[in-house]
Amino acid sequence: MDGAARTEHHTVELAQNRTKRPHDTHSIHTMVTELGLLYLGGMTVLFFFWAYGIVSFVLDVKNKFIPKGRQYLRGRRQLKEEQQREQERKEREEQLY
Amino acid sequence: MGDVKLEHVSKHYGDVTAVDDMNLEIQDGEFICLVGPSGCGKSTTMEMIAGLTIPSEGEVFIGDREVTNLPPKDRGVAMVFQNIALFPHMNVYDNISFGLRLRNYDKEEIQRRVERAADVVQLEGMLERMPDEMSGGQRQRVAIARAIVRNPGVFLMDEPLANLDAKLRVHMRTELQRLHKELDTTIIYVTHDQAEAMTMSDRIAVIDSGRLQQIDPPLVCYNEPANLFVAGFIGSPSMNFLDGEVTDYGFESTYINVEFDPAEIGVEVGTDVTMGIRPEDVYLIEDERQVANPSHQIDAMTDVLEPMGDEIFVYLKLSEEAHADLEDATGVINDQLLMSVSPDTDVEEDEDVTVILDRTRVHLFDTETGKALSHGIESMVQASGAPGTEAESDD
Repeated sequence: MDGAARTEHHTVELAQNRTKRPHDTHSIHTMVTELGLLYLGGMTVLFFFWAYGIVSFVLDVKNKFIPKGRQYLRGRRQLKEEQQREQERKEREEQLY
Repeated sequence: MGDVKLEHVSKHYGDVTAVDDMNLEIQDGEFICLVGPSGCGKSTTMEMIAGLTIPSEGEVFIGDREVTNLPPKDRGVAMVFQNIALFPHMNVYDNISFGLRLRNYDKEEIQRRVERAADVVQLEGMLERMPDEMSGGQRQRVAIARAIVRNPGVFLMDEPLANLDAKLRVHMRTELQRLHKELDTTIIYVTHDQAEAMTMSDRIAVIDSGRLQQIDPPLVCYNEPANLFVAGFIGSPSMNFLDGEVTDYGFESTYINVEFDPAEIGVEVGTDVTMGIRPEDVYLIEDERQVANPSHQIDAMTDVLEPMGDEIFVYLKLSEEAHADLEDATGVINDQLLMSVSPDTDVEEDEDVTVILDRTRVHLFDTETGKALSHGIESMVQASGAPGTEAESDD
């Protein structure tokens, strides 16, 4: 391709691009916004569940795990006391044999 | 010395009072039964004597010693438990000698005492057996022998026959009486079975709601109950109760009137009273000649018959609507009467009958306090217009 033809081709390309640009620019803008929104939405959802998980876990620890742990320890203590009482009672009963 | 004395003994578990201000004096060699319904405090009372439970208030004396806070081993008592509690891995000899070995008696003494105890409870020849090779009665005898070997001043028995079958229980009752006769030791026996209490004991201590209601020989408790509870608890089947009022002519209720002079038994006219009469003191009119002091005639209808072999229990309806649901909170059924008749009596269900009461066996209780007012009515009011047969036959 000689120089004149190259210039003409370039001119045509530019003209085509010029005619395309508004449409293409719009297309690029739209794509970025949707992705962003999707990304933002996704992140929001993820953040919500992450935060929800943390809050829920904290509340579970406070309201469920700690009381259950305490209950377990209390139960063990009571069982131990009960066993001790029974043992003492058994020993006292054996004194009457 | 096997005297036992409880002075103002109480036991509280939080807000619950198991035993309330118990005063009890048991003589050396006496056979006492603590009897009452489940949860009345009889076992707690025994445990306080044994040292298994420390009283919240009051003092316990055994012999001439105050033992309120002493451990069981220092009280000179031995106990036989309801669950027998033999060591399953020890043979009979080891089980019986357990207490002696614990107290470091020498071998010859242990052998001598075990053989004697086995002889008393008729377990000779079984000393090598394991508990699982023995019957319930034999195991209970091992438990008794275990208590005997220690030669205690006081035997405590907490429902020892409750886990045995009816036949064995009756047999063991006799065995225990024989044992008491032989050892002549104080026995304190807890049971909720009033038949056991009646047959075995020198005196019965009737307990209800943690309070001692009466302590007297069995027949005194039966014939002269101190209050409504004792009257209802002692005797099987239970005494009939009817609510009524004292009038110038005696006891008046909806269906039954019994004449007496209120002044003679010291009851004011207008007092609400409950009349009690035992089933064996209600007679069919045909048997009137057996009753020296009969009441007026009472018309009734037979309801249910319960033949027991040696007697028949006849439930009598005093009204058409008579029903057990009418029983009030104190166990009073105002329109039913239970009668005991001999097995050869010709009586059918739903038959009209006329019955009389033996007035000398009528008991009167203050309805409000439950206290006994009179046992047996001898006097009659001869005033004219007294309610009698006509009033009753209307029912």
